[in-house]
Amino acid sequence: MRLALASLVFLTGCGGSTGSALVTFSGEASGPTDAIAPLSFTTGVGAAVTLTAAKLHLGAVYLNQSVPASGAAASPCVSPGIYVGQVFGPVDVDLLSPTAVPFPSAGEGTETRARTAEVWLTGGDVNASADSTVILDVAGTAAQAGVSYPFTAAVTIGANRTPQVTNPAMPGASPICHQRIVTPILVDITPRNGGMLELQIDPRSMFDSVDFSQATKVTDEPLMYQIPDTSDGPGGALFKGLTANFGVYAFTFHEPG
Amino acid sequence: MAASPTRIVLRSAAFDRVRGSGSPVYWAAWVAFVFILSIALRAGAQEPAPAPAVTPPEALQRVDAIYPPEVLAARREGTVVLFVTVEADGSVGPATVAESAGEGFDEAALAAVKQWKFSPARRGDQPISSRIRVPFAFVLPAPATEPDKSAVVAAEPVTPAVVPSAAPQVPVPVPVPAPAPQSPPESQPVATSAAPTEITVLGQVKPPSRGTSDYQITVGHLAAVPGQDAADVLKLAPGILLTNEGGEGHAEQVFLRGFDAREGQDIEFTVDGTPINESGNLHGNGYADTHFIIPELIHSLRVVEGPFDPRQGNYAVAGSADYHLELAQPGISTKFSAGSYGTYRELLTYRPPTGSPGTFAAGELYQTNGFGQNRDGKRGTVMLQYETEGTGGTRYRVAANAYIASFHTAGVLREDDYEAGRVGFYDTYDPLQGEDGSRYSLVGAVENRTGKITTQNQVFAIVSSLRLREDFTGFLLDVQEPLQNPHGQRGDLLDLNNLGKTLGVRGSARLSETVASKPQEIEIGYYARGDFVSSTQQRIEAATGHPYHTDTSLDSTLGDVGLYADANLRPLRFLALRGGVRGDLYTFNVNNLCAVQSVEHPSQTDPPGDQSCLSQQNFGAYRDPNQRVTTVGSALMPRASLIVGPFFGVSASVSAGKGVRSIDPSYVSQDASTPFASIKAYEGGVTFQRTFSGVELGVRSALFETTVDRDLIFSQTVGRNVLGGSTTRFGSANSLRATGPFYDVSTNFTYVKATFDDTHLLIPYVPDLVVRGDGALFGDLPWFVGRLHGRPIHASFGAGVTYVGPRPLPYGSRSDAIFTIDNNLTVGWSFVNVGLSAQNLLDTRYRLGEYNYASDFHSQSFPTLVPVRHFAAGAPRTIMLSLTLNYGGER
Repeated sequence: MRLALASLVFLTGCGGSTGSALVTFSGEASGPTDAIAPLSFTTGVGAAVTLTAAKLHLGAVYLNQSVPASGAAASPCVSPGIYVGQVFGPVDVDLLSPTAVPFPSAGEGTETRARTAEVWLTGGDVNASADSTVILDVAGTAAQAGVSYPFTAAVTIGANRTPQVTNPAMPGASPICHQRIVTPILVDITPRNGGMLELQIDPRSMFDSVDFSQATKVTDEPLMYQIPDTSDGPGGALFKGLTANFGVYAFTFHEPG
Repeated sequence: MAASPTRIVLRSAAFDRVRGSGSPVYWAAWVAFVFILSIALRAGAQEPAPAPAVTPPEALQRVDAIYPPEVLAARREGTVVLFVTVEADGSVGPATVAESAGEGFDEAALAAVKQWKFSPARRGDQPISSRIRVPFAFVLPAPATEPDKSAVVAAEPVTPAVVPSAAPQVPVPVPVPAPAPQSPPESQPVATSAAPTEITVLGQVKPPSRGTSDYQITVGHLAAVPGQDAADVLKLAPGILLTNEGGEGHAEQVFLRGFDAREGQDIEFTVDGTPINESGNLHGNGYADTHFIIPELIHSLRVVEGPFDPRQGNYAVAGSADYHLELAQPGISTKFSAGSYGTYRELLTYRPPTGSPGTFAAGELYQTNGFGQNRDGKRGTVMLQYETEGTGGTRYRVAANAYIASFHTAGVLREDDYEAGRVGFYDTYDPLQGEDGSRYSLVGAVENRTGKITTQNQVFAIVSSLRLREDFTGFLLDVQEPLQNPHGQRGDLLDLNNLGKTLGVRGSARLSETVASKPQEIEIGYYARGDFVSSTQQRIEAATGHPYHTDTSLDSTLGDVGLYADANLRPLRFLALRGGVRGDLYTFNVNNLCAVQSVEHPSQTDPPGDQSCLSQQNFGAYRDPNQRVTTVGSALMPRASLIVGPFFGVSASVSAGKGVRSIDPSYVSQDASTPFASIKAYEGGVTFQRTFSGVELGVRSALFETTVDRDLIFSQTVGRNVLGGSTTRFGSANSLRATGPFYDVSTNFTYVKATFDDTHLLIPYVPDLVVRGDGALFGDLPWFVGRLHGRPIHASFGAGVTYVGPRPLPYGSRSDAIFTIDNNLTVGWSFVNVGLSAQNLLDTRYRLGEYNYASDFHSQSFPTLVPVRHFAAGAPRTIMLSLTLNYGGER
């Protein structure tokens, strides 16, 4: 029997391997485990925030092998050859619910250790100069310095995020895609075939630097403020929190079975 | 002779006028026209053409060959056919072995024929030198009268076929001198059938075998097996797999003994000694496209699997392959083929009726719509060769070749797109993919035998061009550089252009001497070649078709001078030691016209922007964008084979050798030395070669190991091979060929394990199991259907079967196995031959090539950045019907 098996292996050329493996896996995204509506927390600037709604539009998620290096020169948005996993959306995630939302299609990748992850916050082409897709849609109330700020915010990443060219000799140093890709998010994941990639998104850290006192009053009755969809002020701070590579996005890979 | 090229030219012009419209009607009309013309020509031929009266030579004194004692003891039989030059004075000039029966027999036949005396051939009253075939049949006596080992048995020369070297215009009647038995009655040889009145080639002297993996393959009746091009003939050698994601006309990707030789850069390809590998070709240093060879002209092939022969030069990493061209069919022939997917082929050939098969003119036109999207192609080829023999044993050969081709290619498809129904199996992503190529060559060769020394000298000039447009990755690689204006992915279509000019010479001198009653040979040789190459590779924007980036632009001058010495020594009758040493010197002079593609601190007032080849250094300081680099390297490569036997038809051999592969010019720009890869190969094998009652049987089995210190691994991102680590291949190659009176069967299988030395992981893409079988049945039809108007109806049936085991792919996966069957049936009568061929008879939908890598063809909503399976579709069932008409060439 062993001889027959060995002969079969020989004849079918199945001896040895080239290493690693192509894998497929599922993907899910949710709010944090302790998410609940409404969600109350205190920000880094001392504002007490109660979120009543928080929805995030995810474009895609990638895992790659690159190890972040401090002081490295500006890197391109996409570096071919480093990617070991991808899961495509779009997915709209309720950040106030721990219930996972599955990605519409299976993820693909290789059985290779990933050291960083990327979250693509885009409604389509990551290089498009204009994109009106609302990436983050939040509502709630903030109490800051004894003042209450009922607020809403709708964050888009389009022309409003176009970076300024500071060096005319380097017009491509800061492309718009950098604004839409959250990276590097540190991970230590090796995708396995049949496993599941879980992404938990914590909205609390997004508000760490938001100064609600600079929010724009929209109406007096009822009192309502809006965090403007801009690159400065509270809008810029919220966008910075949204695209922070630490404290907002947490990846876990669940082995199959 | 003169009429044939004229017709080719006229036909070519007409071909161009009708391409793309109404082709089937046109072709049908053309076939009918030529058919009628052939009938007319034959009718007109009832009047014999005036020709000088040529009287063939006549043997005045014949001496039988002595049956070699060792092969007599082994009870071996065989037939040796010699080419013998009969000088104008009737003496015997140079004699060579045309068809070997193995060691012992050949020497005995040569020794005998040199004692013959002739009355010379004459044209009118004028004595002329001529060349004849003299077969010697070594046939064992009946067992009852078997002599002891010391007995002397004579082999009888059978009727010689006569060929005046100054070729007459009509076939020469052959006298049949009665044999004069001189042997003891118990050893009376049995005469074989009379030799055909066929002109034999004035060919090159074959180098001595290097052991089990030295495959001297005569195509013979296996030409009946359908094949599309010259590369298909390679499959007769063990372990060769051909794939082609480049489509019609693109050089075949060759896998041999664990090597992914890509388009030939790991195999030294030659055609009658003229190099095919293109040094400095940007697509692959050593790129070898054999499409310029008309397959009907391939007489034989020598494949040496490994660097075991000092004659092997650059690129002989996995081995070497030398095509030998002849035209078997004399007279004027026209062959028209038409079949599936709008495929048409027209072949015109001409060979003097009584001339050498090495003298011919052939032209081919081919066009196809292809079996799927973007697979159409056209090509045209003309091959001319003239061989003649002068006085004093000097032979001359002149060959010229012109080849042009243009076609589109489908490239690869993503497996996930095919499974999701986003693309069809035979679709393409990028219709701009394709190729345009040309090759023009002129070759002159002289072979001379004076006394014991044979010299060969050859000069060649080649001009070749290649424009290649390939897209492996879609929209993946156009990285946003800080210098560039912001952009999205513009497309990864590669537009590679290569123009190469090659001048070279090669030659050898061989001394044949008898020492201690055994033939001994020493040969020295030289090889010199210069290549002058201009190459560019640009990226094309998908939306506009404009080039937006220059990857590479090189002007290269490459030199290669090699010298070798080789000995063929036979210290004992059953022991042969063959080997020597080869030294090569390689020079590279490369002007990189795009040496600067980035600058850290560009000028703020005059930034380079989207330019590819920059002319400034940091802070805007000017510099020219080019950089010239020269390198030189040398290699000394010992090679040796030890052959023991034959004993009862069995020989054993061990071989060892070292080879090199010179560097890609694009790496020379990076200051690497040349040659950069060193190959060591070892092999042990057993060969069985014997004739049983007219059936020639050959069986070979070999174990081999090859190591390469710096290998090449294909990268889809740059579209060519890139440097890898050290690798080792270990495996076994096995083959069998049996040729009988009505059949010819060849089969081979190779198993190899190819691994990286550091990780011991398999080398991707290399098939570890390749099985190939070819077979042909042929003969005249029997019974009442077998003759028509007194002429026999002959038929042949050929079949080729390929099985390739699952190939290792990157990321631990395996490809599908490949199993295909090709068939061909021909029926011929008189001057008409009709053929029907089917390739991929079972219409298997298979993936000819499979690859795992990352690509993004915009087939999904977000960039696809991780490696996935890609494939290049194999051809579906293809039916071709052919009609061949021949005038003046009945044999």
